[in-house]
Amino acid sequence: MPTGNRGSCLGRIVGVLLLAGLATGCAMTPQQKEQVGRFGKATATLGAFAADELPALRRQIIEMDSLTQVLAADGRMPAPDGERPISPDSARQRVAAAQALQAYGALLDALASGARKETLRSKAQDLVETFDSALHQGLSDAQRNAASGLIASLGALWLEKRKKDGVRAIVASYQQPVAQLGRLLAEDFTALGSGYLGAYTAVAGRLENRAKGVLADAPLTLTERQLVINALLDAEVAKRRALALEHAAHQAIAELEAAHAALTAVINDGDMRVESIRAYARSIQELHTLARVLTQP
Amino acid sequence: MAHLGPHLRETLRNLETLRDRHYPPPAELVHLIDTLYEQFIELIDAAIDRRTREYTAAAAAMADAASKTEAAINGLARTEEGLGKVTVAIDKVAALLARVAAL
Repeated sequence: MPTGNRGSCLGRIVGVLLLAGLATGCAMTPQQKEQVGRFGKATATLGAFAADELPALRRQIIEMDSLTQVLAADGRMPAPDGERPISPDSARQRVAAAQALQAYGALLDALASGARKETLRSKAQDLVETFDSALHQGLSDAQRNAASGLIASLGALWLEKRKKDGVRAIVASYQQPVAQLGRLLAEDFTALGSGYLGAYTAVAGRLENRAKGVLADAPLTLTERQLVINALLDAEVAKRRALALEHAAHQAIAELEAAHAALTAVINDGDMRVESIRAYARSIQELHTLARVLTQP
Repeated sequence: MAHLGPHLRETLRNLETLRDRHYPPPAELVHLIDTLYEQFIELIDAAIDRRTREYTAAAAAMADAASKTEAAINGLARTEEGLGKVTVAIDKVAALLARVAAL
């Protein structure tokens, strides 16, 4: 993107956010409380899931790859590689996606909290830069400029309506790229997909097949047989675990998507409160935590 | 248009079913499954362009392999035909991966 445009647009976005941050929120309706509660529960589930399961998942991919190497009788297997089958480039893409989600959540949180001008400026800058980095094609001009049109009409900066308009513009503009990054996470949690869990399942399936082949192939010593049987058990446990993880993750992501849709509907209807924005911001940052865990060694 | 990923997974599932019907599992089956998993893993992180001739050929061949290996599950007499289709599909995927590697 042209740097000049970015600076200009950023200025306008920051302006909108500043205006929005000046207003205060009202009490939540029971319906909003329910929506925020759903959203919070969904993200808490995702956060706990990520913290407990994904680092182990990544380690096990490497361990199973090494075991498969041990069972290779003909030596044609490539050497175990800690980054395979997820390359450093793919890992970097996930880091960028995680940072973009974090920036989005942080900006909304700052906005809802009525943060200072400098904070909002910094977070708005982070938002545009991280999304540009995370999305292959970068942000569109429409996304970049979504908030700028509001500036011209802003008069009474403290009005609740102005704040709503500002938040509405940000959420509407970034809904598509946030969903895009969300789909990346969903793919990562599909057992037969092309992401992390797909890799995990494939590595487990290959180990299981190799172990069965070795068991049938030749007479083994007791120690050798024990090693192969342990490998077979590891692979079978991993395959079952992948399905359980997929179920848990997709349930949590579906909950989050439903809550996101409900919150977006509230924003679009104009019946929006600061508490809803903050709950949404926290949820998005939980997604960031989830994505970050994927890339941990 | 056929998609490679789902057909590859279906073929793998069918081959594993065939493998587990025998003890000891036929070495050829174990080898084919091993090769398919290797390709599956290679494809996970490959920058695949679905508009290429190689992709179309690989996806079509794998769809055929999935269909024929399923037929083999239902009638073991068709196993040889199914495994032959898998070999063809493996060659097509290898060509696709070679193209990606050459980019």
